[in-house]
Amino acid sequence: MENVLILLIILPFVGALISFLIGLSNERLRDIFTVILTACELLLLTLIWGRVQSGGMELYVPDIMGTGLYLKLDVFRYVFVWITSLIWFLTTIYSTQYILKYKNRNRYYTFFILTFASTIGIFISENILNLFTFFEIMSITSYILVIHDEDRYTHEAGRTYIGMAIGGGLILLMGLFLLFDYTATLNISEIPDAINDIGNIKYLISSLMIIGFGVKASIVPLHIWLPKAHPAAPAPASAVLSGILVKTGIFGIIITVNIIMNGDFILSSIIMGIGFVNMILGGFLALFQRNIKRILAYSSMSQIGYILLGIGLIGLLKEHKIIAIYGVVMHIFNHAIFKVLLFLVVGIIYMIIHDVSINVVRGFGKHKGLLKAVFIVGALAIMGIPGTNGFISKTILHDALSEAHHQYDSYWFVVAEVLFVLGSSLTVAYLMKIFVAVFVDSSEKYIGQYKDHIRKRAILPMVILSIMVFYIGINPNLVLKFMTGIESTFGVTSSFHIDFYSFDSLKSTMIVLVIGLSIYFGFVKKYLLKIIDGKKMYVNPSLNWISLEKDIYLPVLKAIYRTSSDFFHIIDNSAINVIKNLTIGIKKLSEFDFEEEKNKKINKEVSVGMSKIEGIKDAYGNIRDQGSEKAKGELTNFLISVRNKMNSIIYSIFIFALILVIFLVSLVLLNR
Amino acid sequence: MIIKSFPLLTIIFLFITSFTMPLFKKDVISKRLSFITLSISSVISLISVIYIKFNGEIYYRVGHWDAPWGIELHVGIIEGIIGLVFTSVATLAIWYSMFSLERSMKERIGFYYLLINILIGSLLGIVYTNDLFNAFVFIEVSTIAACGIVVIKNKKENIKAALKYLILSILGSGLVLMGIAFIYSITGNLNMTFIHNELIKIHGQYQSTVLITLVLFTIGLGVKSAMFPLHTWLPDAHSNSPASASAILSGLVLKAYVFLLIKILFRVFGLEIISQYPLLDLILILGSAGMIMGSVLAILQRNIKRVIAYSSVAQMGYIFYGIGLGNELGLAMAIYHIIGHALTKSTLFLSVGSIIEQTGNHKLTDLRGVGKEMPVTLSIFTIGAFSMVGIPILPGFISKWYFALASIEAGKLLYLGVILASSLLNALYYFPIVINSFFGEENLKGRVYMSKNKPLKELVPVLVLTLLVFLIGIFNKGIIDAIRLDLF
Repeated sequence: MENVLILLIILPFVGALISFLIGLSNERLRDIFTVILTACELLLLTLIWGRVQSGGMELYVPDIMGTGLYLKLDVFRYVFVWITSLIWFLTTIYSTQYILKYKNRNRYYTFFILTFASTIGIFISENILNLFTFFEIMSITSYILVIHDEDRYTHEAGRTYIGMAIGGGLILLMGLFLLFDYTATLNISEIPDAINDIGNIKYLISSLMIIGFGVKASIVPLHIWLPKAHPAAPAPASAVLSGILVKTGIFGIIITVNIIMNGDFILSSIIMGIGFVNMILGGFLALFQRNIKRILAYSSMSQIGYILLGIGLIGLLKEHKIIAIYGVVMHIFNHAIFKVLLFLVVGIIYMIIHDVSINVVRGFGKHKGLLKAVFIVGALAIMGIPGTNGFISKTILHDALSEAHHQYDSYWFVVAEVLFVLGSSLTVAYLMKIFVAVFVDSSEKYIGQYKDHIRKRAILPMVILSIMVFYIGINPNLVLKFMTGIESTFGVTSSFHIDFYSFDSLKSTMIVLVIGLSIYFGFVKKYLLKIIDGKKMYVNPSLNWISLEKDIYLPVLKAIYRTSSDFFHIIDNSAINVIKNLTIGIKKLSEFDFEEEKNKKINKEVSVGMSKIEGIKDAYGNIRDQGSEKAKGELTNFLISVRNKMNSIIYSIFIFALILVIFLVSLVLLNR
Repeated sequence: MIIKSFPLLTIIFLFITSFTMPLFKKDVISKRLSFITLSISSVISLISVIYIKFNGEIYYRVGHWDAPWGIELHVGIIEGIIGLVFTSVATLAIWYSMFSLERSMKERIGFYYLLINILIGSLLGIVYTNDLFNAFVFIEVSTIAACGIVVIKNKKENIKAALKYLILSILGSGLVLMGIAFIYSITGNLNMTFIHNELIKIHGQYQSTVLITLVLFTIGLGVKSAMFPLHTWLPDAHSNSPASASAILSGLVLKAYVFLLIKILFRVFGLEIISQYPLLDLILILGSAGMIMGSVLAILQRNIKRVIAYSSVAQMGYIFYGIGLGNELGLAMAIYHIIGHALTKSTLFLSVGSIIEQTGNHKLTDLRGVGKEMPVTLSIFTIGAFSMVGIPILPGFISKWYFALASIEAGKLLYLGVILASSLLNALYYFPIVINSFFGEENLKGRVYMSKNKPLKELVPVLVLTLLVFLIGIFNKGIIDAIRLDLF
């Protein structure tokens, strides 16, 4: 039974290769094969739910991947793995339609499934070095997805993505090296006990790990790849990028902060602070964007802020942390559902008119009923309107925040409440921007239905996701039951109860809606919608603002590169010079003139005696020059003759005797 | 048990078959006879190694006389492994020479195989025997046989090299004989075990005699195994003989004498006695000097066979270094290096032999671009070279690694620098050969890919040797552990 774990990884890894081989001859068969493959994985996972609930599984495979492969599946990991395979199943169905008109389809499917395999690997690794390995595999395979279009923009985005992924990976690896050096263990469940005794170095280790995972999780200020990579990738790829891959970073941060560091207070506070920055900055920047995919990317960043807030709260709440745990996991689960839904909707638009700029696609969806409906579902969910799953998880997170406010009674939490509401309001505002522009405004260009462009298999995943949004929203306890047991990973066993549809939570939703709409009408409509050339156009003033990447990271990197290259140049040159001088010196030495001394003596005597006779002196000078030329290379010749003599029999016997004598004499002398 | 007599059987078997060879008129028969006898002896050696592994060491008395009077053979796991390596390397070298010997010399083919059988038999005798005088007899036999092999080509430089080798060897043998005489006069025994028991009791009274005896043995066997300043005969002798002979001379003959030296120092005298004298320090110094100077001299050579011959001087330096460290790990590694170097050096000599045979060039400058013409052969050479330089998993690296650990264990940290410097120097003369043969546009211009490649069936013995090199490197742990268990 435990072998299912290794099967979970091997199935997609091998499946990716098989799908590549099938795709070489028959593309249709490959599409069907990949759908069946992901369906099998989902089915397999669903079947072992009971087993995981009743105690989880562990599997150790020695002698591979350096330290051996140590896999573990408890309820906490199961939720991640299950949502991953669900999303992959749906996006694979969607891809069969979306990717149809693209080039390099075979490559896309292979790397899509490989990314899937490595993501599963990340979530079920118990050995943190295995986790890191899968993490790196995922970075590289998903890079291929990001640059799928292979045009100028995608390559630039891909460069940022892979550069940051590798940089983050190296920082993470440094952290893991230090961790292993100090704790001598790599198994996640053994680290918490070991790390207690190593002093303050644990903060360095955990910071390095958080930075490494944080790049993937797009925490501020490491988020710059996110708004570039999402618009670049094909829609199903950006859907999983935003829905799942970002969560791998979150998973790593949860492991670091809440499991390895056991919810350390300082670290939790910092994570919570970063969460708020993410939430507000992401939402605020989303307001300005004109590319719908980029709005959704910033929106992901903002939602990650909520999750980080929850992670911080898990640490702060200590023994009452169960509510925050459920809030975090629930929000990860729900965000995957509605964000993927939204990306798929945008993908449909892109499929038809090959553009997602809000100024171009304005009024596209006015008459498209089904598309409008599923978009509204996704939008309502992300805004947190009652009846949707977004409402459920935001309510739990909000309750956790109130609990912390109650526990610590600090006025900071008042600020936190305000920021929480502000973040949600920003969400309302930027979604209103998309909704009004695409689905409410009218346009003469897009009147037809374009039904022939879209098949049912592209619509199906969105319908399933929409149904899930409402189903979870109405029956939250079902999902809570599905997740029962995640708290055991964090070492708590208490239970909690929330009345979701209470007056308070409904009231705060109303407040959020009101503020959000006023931001939309008061700011977006007024300042971002300008009339240019007689047309209403959205503008993006944030383009002229300071850019983290262009104005800070790149100059700093360049400066570091310059200085270090200058520095190494100095070392290089000095080494080369030393060797050069040494060679010249040895050469000079080998040309050392033995006769020089003798000549000089003669020279002196002669010149003393005959200095007055000019003519003779000149003649002597000529002779002397010839003599010294002859003597040149004397040392080399001498050495060669010594070597030749050494090789002769007589000298060999002399050496033999000499060594014998030396041995005897030195032994006798040293022995006394 | 019949297996107990297997070590003696191999020696006698090789001697008897060698003297039947002149009875056949055709060279082909003696060639095949030599190959068959050697392969049978390696199978027998393998069986005895397995037997020893399970049943413990063999003491075998020759001629029904018990130990102090009769000759005794002692074969532990170390002797067994070394015997196995000797017979199998010799088998592979002869297998190689079956195809190629006629191409380098026209006459005395049968005589060559006769000498090889005598040589291997006497080397096994040196390794197995537990009797000092018996060892001396085998030394003399092997010296004469080796000189015969050196002179077999019958050219001017061969005669010169053989004379030099003969004179120095005889001087060495003389010292060994004197040493044995001294030992006999103070202990009254020739059996190593008995001498040791005797010496433990009386060495206090005969300090100077013991000291002089030690020096006589060290110098006498040192000159035969090319200890650094006494190596002068080696490059001439090894570089002028046929490839298979060079492989055997360099891979096996040197090793037998150095192994006998180890046996005399650590089994006859024992660490307890020799550690009273600074003898091991002198050996360590000479070993280190050999490691450095052997490589330096190799760099100066223009002829590829001489380069490899000088590299042997450096590698023998490693073995003396291990002996000189005087601790258990150092000694175990010296024995491991004997095995590893026997395989690696014969691989190198055989691959270089086939390069010279195919291209006719033996100057380093003429061998440029040969990697394109004979890629397989040169890859084998490259593997051997990598082992010499110390690239991981190959035996050369294992030796260097553990030699370094052993010197740390012995507290001789300064000597770590010698190992490092020697590795660097090794790289300095092996890598240019490899790089110039494989790369460089101007080197490869006009060369035709695989044009001079040897047929695969002639390369099989060298490939098997390469495989053995890898195996020795990969299973180093088991071998080193077995050696350490059986150490004196």
